[in-house]
Amino acid sequence: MRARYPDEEGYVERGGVRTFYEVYGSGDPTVLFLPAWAILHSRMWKSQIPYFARYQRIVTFDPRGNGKSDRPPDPAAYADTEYVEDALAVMDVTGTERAILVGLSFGGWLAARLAVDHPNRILAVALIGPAIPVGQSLPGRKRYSFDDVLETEEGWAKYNRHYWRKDYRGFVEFFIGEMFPEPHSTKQIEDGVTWGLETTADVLTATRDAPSLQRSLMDRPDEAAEFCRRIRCPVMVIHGDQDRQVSYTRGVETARLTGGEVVIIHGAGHHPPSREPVKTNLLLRAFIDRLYGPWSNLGRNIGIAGM
Amino acid sequence: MRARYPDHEGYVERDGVRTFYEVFGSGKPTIVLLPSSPIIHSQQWKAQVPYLARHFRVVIFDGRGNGRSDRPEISEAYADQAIIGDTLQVMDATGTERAVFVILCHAWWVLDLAATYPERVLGLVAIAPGTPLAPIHSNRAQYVARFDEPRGDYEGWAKTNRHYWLQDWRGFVSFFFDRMLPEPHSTKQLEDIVGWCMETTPETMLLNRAAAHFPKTKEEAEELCRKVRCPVLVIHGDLDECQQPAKGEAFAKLTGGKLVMLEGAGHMTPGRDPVKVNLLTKEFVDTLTALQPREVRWTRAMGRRKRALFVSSSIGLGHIQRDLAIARELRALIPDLEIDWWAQHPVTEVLNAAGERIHPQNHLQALESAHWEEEASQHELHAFYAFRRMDEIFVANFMLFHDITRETPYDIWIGDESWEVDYFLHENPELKTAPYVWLTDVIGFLPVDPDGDPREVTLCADYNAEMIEQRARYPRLRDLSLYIGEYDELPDAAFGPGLPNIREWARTWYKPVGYVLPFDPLQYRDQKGLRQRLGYGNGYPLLFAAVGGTGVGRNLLQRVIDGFGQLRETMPDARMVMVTGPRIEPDELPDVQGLEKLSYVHNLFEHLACADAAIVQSGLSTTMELVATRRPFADVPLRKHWEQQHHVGFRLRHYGATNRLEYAELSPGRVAETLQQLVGSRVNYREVPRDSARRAAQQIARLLSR
Repeated sequence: MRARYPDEEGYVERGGVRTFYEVYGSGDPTVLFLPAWAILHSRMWKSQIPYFARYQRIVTFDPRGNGKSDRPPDPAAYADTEYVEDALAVMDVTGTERAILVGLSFGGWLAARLAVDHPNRILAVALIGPAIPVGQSLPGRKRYSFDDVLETEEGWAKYNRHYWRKDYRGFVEFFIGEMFPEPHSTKQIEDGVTWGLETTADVLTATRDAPSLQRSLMDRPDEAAEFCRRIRCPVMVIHGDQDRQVSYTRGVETARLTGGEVVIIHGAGHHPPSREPVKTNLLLRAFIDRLYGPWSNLGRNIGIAGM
Repeated sequence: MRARYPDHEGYVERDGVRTFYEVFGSGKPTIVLLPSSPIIHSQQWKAQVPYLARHFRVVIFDGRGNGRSDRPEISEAYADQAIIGDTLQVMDATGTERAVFVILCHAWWVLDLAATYPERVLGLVAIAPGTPLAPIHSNRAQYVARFDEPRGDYEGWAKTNRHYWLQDWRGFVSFFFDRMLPEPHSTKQLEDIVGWCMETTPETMLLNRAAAHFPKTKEEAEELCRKVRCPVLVIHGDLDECQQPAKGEAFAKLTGGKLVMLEGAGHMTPGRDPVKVNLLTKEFVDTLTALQPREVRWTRAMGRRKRALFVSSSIGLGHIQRDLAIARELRALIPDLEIDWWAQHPVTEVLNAAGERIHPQNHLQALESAHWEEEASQHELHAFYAFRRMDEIFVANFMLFHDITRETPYDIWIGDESWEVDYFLHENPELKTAPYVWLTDVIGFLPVDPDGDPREVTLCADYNAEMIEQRARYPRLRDLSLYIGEYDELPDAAFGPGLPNIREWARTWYKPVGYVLPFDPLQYRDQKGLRQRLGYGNGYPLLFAAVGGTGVGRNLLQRVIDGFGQLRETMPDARMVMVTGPRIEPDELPDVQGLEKLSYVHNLFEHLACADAAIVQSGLSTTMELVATRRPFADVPLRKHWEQQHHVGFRLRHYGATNRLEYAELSPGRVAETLQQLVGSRVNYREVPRDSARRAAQQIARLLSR
């Protein structure tokens, strides 16, 4: 059973694709927990939601491609702009004019896009291991072609469309395993693999083939930096220095470019919300309290009642 | 001495009235700690300034009518608008565009300031805010109404009267602030405040009383509160007899602020609950200044090294030798333990010489040894009063301890007579976040002049009673209390009138580990061989004189030199080695034939073990080292030093060392005569245990591993 069940749930439909959302608790400001890559879904926030829902309203949703959301076959349906529009649609349907965003990995990228493109609706963003293409890529990680047939299936060679089709579970187990370099992470890995197997190789392949500003900025660091500088709302970054999927230098650089604060967790991997849930919760709590707590200037200015 | 001195000070002048201000630190934003004047002055914030100035910039000033500011003789000069004008002018003079204001009690004019000048106010901390939002306290409403009428008697709150003020100002403020401090054991706070009140006059207070103050009515106050736009924090004691808690509640509600009610607290919370008030203020200011770019690192619990913080008292140099001995044994038991030291000069010199790691923020501590030297004169140090006057330094250093232990999650805190840590942890037990060990060689303050100084008797008993109550209420706060000695080395005396016997009480509350020596005494029994090895040679009387690590011993050394000069007349081949300690320059003392003066000697005990006789101050370490190496010696306690007078004397008698001299009777002739008798005399001391450091370490290690 879950620690906390939603007070409200439903679907929002865009272009024939249905996105499943949940709402918990009450009280301003609303916190929207964004999806990451569609290999995971909204249960990845299970260690956060019961805690934050005691203080304020929480909204979360499953990404198209996993969970209770639809899995359209067309790669174009998985463009990052589609996820941005889904987030706005969920905010609309739940009556959420403005929200604080929490995003992990690809979700960190989505949070940044929302903050840049829709500043009037975003109060602040908390980015965890954000896949924002500033800073460095991981040193020592061997690059393999995604599209070519490879001679090896070792390590990151599994990140390959042919391997996915051949042994999808093998890829999910590898990928989720990489997410948790911390010892004794069996339960977190088991959860992640379960969620990963709720979608398919075809869906993940479609997400990989979708158009994405994020990927196109990978080779254009100046434009990526300029993009970050356009974030005007408060920013906090949490990043594990053992992250094997997104170098923590990306998080540090994002914080620097946005004038935000960064917490580096020694020994943590790519998913602190699951593996370091208490620390993550308290860091997010402190960030939100500094901005919208009972003593905050901002809270008073936007007319948010005492929390 | 103060825990922190201003970086900048000056005066502003308005309409011929000069106001004195001080500026501390350079952080952002600026906090202006406003005066509750003219009854008290800016020293009211002494427990806040050192802490807040480490994080922010702090401005304080004496309100007109007290402190170093002028005392104008017309009542208009004390109107609200005058002090508001002074505040703005101090801000201008110090380049303070906007600030967080903190006020105790006198919140009415600060309300006006915040409502009228919103562009200059970032936030407001109103402690026990006084406004007409609720009626005046019933304890004195009737007397305030007839303030100007003479009365037949002035018992109790009837002292709230113009005629009584003029007749006995001290009587009024003593009564009033005693009621403002309902918390037990508030003697030091009361004494401070009465002192500040005596720096102004009832005439000044009457001028202030007659001046224009606003708001007068509840409605005016409510309207003013609603105009305040800045974030507000209200702190109020629920036992406040000056401003009823209902005033604080209404203030918070109408300004949209947050209320923190301190239960069991009175009116003077900045002085009486300084740690809580400091942390609340810091937390409040932090929320106003979020979003400063910064980088924080946190290490997962299982990835952390095993680390201890060892707090070694800096009062005297003896503690550090035994602390190092305990640390050596602890490392033998737990090889992967890292130790950070928290200590002060001159202890840090010993630690540096030993290659130990000193905490990088160590140097930010307010200096205890400077305080002790300021307190001492003529071989006299009233240790208890000096200790008591360290209140400001203690709270400043505890706040620093609190900050550094939040930054680094230590596995254990070990405090050797870490008085400030122990006291304020008991006052704020929720701040304990690690296993905590307390070590001491002294239990209980005992008066040094019970017949001549009844105040000292009362105060010592009060301090002991507070400690006994703290222990009883929070027994698990210390995971371990170790007594450096055995129970029968403790005075067989009561903590004070009506209080338990020290030795009996200790049996319940302490584990004894034996006296801790920093060396094995058996290796220092061959005096001849040792003298050869250390280059002294044999065949003449070798004498030693030593006074420990502070500068207090200068007068004793002077007298010993005179006495040694006389001794040479009858014992011409005698030589004396005098160790002045790091804080007395050998050159400041005269030269005599046969005398060698050294400021510091590494492993002094080896040298003492060579002595045919020694004369030393009654510091515990030096005297016990002489006992352990079985050398004849005489000790001279500092006058009025409770520990040397009582605890050390008691322990030395227990060990059979009974040549004690009083400084008053220490003529040069007496020094010469004593040394003459000691040379060649036999000692019959009890053996000092050799395994005490290991016993202590074994107890501590149990808190770190199974």
